[in-house]
Amino acid sequence: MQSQMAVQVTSQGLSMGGEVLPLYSGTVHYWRHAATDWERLLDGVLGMGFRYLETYVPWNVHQIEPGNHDFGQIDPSKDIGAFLRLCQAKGLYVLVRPGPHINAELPFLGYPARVLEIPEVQALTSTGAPAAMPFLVTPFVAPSYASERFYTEVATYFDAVAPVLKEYLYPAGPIVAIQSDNEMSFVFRTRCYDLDYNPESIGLYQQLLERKYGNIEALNKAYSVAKPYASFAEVDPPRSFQAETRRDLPYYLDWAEYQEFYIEYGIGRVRDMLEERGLTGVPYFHNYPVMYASSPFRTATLEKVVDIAGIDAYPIPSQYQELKRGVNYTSTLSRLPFIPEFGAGIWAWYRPLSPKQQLFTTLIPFMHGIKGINYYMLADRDRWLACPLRSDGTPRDEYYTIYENWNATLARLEWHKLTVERKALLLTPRSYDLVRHVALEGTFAFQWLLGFYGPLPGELFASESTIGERDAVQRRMPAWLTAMQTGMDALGVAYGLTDSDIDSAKLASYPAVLVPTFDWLDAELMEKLLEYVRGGGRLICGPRWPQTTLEGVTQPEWALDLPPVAKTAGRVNLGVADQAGNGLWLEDTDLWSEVQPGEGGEYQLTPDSEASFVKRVSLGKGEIVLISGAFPEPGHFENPTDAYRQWAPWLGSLLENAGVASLWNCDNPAVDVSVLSSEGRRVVCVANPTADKQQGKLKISGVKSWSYVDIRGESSEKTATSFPWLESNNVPGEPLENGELSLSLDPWTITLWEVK
Amino acid sequence: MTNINETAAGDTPSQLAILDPACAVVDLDPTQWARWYDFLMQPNRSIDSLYILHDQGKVITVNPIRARESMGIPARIEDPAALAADLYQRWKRGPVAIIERNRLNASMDKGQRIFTAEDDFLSYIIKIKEVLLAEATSGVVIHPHPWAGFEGITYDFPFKLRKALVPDQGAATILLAVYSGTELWSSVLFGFKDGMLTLLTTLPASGEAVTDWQQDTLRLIAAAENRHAKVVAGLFCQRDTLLKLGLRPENASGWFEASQQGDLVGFPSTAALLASTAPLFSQK
Repeated sequence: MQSQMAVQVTSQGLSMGGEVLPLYSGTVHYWRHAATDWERLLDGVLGMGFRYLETYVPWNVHQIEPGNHDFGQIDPSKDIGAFLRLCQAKGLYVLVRPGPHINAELPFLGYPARVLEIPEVQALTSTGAPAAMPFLVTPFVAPSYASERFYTEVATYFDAVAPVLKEYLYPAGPIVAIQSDNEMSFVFRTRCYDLDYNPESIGLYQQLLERKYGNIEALNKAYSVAKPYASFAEVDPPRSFQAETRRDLPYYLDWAEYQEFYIEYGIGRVRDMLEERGLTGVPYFHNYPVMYASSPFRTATLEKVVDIAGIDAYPIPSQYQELKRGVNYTSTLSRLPFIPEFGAGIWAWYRPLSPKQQLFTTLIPFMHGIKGINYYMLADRDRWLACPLRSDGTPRDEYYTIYENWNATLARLEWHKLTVERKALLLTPRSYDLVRHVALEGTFAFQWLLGFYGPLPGELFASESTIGERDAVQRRMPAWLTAMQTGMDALGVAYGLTDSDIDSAKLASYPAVLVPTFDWLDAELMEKLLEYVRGGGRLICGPRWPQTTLEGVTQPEWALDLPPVAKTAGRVNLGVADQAGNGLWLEDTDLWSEVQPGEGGEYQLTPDSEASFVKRVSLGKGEIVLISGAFPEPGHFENPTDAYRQWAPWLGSLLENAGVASLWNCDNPAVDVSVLSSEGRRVVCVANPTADKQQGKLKISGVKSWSYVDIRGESSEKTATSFPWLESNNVPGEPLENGELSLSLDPWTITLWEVK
Repeated sequence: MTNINETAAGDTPSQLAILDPACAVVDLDPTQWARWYDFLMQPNRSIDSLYILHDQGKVITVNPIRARESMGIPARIEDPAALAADLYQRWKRGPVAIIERNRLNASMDKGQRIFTAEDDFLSYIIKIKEVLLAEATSGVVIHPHPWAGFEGITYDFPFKLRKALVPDQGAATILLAVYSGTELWSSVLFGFKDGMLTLLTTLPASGEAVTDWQQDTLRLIAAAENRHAKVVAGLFCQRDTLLKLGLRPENASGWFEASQQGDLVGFPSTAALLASTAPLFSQK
């Protein structure tokens, strides 16, 4: 598919005519500005150093009535053709997003109201209620992407808009990529038992079951139902989580898989419709409306439907860790890690970021591996503010200089060629992630309406049921992942985040892979992990070694040569509690050697020797390291990060043994670091993701000299006038003779260093 | 200036709606807007809330999980409202929510079934508020309840308020502004057309030094009328007064005193504004 296209997707950007141009883009909505302001707006976009521009092409803006559309014949601001010609004349490449979902803070998210009022088009909840959405600026009922009538209506718009856009496809025109629909997510209602129970959606679910099982007998066997189904048409999807044993799980997991399928089906269907109308030859992309694409979102399989599966992010500074995690995860799975919508300015019902906060959040994704970005928005418009350009195209200097200087820095450092250095992988088994998705204590639509206190915490609805197993996977898996991630952060170990979909070749390139494992695991991932170990990899896992598949089938070839458990301890203390009670422990731990409990019957272990809860087993050229205890959930601690950091000494020893050493060492745990490199060049990013000033000493493995990268540029004139809002114009660190860097970091800052 | 000639195809405004589907929220000054946001939202934000989910009294989950033991949360809840009040006193970090999952599911379901295509955002939110407040003492208990101050406000309240202030036909403007000394701290302009709210924006501070903030309000009124239409109601006050008294009904006497002291100024007059709106607030 790729080889046929005029525009190619590469890991560094889009390739046009054999030249790779990094995908740094920004949004301007042509119809929201007077056509007479367009030229000034585009000059502003170019002035900031952008070569790409993105715009929606909204259905309910262009449609006057069904079959009658205005593309500038009536209102000059809707003349998309004239806008694209101007972009081309200015040398801007364009990404277009023709919907049908637009959002863009438009009434009815860009759908015509009349379409959403058609009963057969409406998505239904598990109780059969139309999925009403209390959205600003207009409430509406969400559409079902399983509804054929919906696609019939969409076709009336695509029939009109596709010929207009086709004329401007690259190489004849400036359009180099197209987004298939927008933020496909049951209109942001992704709770497992919320949507979509529209009859056509249930029909699609039943079709998927038929494709998966082939015949109803196979499904009856998998579900072990008391009363067998006579046909797939009888299978009603689950409407709440009622599983009592593991044997009940497949029924629920199939519904979760269907929800993933539904999203990909809708995106694929829209892409097909656009291609059928001649919009071919350029890549298609999509944007999940989350920073971290866990179920029902799935990055790797979506890239079989479109060319790039991106994430959207509107972070505030305190979401540093969340954005880092999402970007890291996307960067290991996507062919071009891309954020199709990254907050620049903000919607009118939210608090705008200050210029300093905006600079900080803008640098986070680049620090952690993103390769493409589209800033949403570059120009103020209806229901959006605090952009680098005002609505008439004049610069808002305090924001404009951020993008002007940062784009210049990206070009100067050839950032698109840099790759984040990583030695270990933290892998989330997708089958466990599906369990997390289904094991809920309720349905809970639009729960944020309970008040202004923010959304209800997801942990509140995560079932504590073990369904008769030893572990409640949905609660213990996130804790395990958080403990490992915090431990590696504390150690200065460079790691990637990924899931079961990572291909084996990529997996094999990492010396160590860390995976939460419980009593069962899906066979496909287990085979992948065993192949990895036999080939020489180190698998660090726990708290259990899986002996069976989800379906309960024992796999003799998975058996490890493990000795009998000497004792199972309810609680093993790893750290010493501080005044806030932040001492770390392991729960429900298998001890492989006799350990004497201390006073009060609790076990207290220290990391100075091989711990009795760790078992190493050689396999082929590699090794499996089993940590046979469960980590407590973050909610047990006043400060979970402080508590999980106490895991670092143990983890450091396990990783060192696996050939993974710390890449950096900083005596201030609040400081975060990443190292990017390309052909001998290395750039270090140093972040202070806190509201306080931070100091410390940083040492990077192999680094002897540090050269500060002032993103305000090298010209003293520019340096003096850019970012007047910075609290300090001082260089945020001083290289020391011993090769270390003495840091002095302002709150919410990321600084760059070229190192040797 | 942003192009606001945007229309949504096929819209039919409700008879009771005041928020035009294509209401333009444009040309907002970031600093002024952030100040409104902080004033309205910050007191209600908390990441330290305590949540209990139960099924007909039987506790299912507690968040954060450590609170189950440290706060002595019983396995069975008999009187959720009393427990929420008690926990709130002891938790001391934020609101306490005790949620019966079946009632939450039922109220969420009802919240969707009451929607009609004629609802605008305001009327729909007020309908949902009524559903949630009906559950506030036993089903979905939140202490303190974020909607408590809105009890008694019915879905047609915004419509009645608009009727009291704005003529049905033609265009009109309502203007609010807050000063910090002589400096314009924040402003907001509500533009109405044929009874519908069609425009929300801020106005810029004067480019020249201001020596008398009350005098500057006349400049703002002129700017608002230049931007949209005749100002039918204006309210201007000092920041310290706003932050001290807030929008709480129990501080009505404080606001009266502020107007006596000249920290609150109404247009065309404070007395006229009170006369047109007070009956609504007294009867809600």
